[in-house]
Amino acid sequence: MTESLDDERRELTTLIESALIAAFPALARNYYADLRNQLTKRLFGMITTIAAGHTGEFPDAWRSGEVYKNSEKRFLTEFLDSLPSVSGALSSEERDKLDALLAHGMGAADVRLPETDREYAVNRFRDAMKLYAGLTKVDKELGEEAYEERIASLLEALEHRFKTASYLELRTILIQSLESAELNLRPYQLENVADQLLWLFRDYFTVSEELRDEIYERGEQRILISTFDPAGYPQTARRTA
Amino acid sequence: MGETIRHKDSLENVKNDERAIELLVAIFGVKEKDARELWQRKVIGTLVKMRKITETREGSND
Repeated sequence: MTESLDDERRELTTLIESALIAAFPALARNYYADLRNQLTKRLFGMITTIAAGHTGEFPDAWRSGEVYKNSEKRFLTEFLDSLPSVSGALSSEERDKLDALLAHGMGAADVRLPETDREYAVNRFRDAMKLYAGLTKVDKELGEEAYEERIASLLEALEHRFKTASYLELRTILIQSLESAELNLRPYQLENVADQLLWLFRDYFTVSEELRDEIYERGEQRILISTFDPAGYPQTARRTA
Repeated sequence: MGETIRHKDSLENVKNDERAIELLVAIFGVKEKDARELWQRKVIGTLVKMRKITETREGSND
């Protein structure tokens, strides 16, 4: 029984290797033996996980397709992560040279980023290039796809960083503006008003143009009540009338 | 009288803060005229209302 199971495992392993070589002929070369073995093991694990789900170990997850999707995702992530090593590790001199070139390229393209973001972009850009170099040795199209994905993810991360930095700067400007109005508020109250205004800005720009005035007035009323008269702004309004 | 002029000047500086308008455009992805409308009319209006409430309270405490 054990021998038969081992035979089946060996047969499955051989089939996976053949399928990999059929998909990526370059993997047949001795140069990629380690990578080929790694990928075969991963695929074997993925298939046995799926089989376990199919035989009833995770029936609900199997029916919903989660087992397959999760296994596939894990496999692809590990596959992609294993690839930069295919192109060989860069020496520190090579890395510095590449980083300098990338930073110079960004400067020439007039990409104005804060120093930390520039360093982050250079690192991610370099990794994307290594991934591309590694993958294109196996399959050009796969390399291009992976490169584009990494660059899209880099741009998304940079946009997020940029928005966070811009958001914090706008918050600071709001606090300074509130200070210049000399409202006799404590620092924590100024920060609270600034945060409420930022939320209001988001709501204001989320609705259609016709609703903006109404949304702003309601938000403003809430801010005035919570800032100046927690018991209810209309009382203050009557006093000021 | 001097107080009122001082506050008017400082709010005028806030109103003309072009950086705030640039940031609104960048963060919310809106047109400059919409960001300008929000900052120069709505936000300034709120600050004026807040200032008036503060002045009224300060007056009633005197």
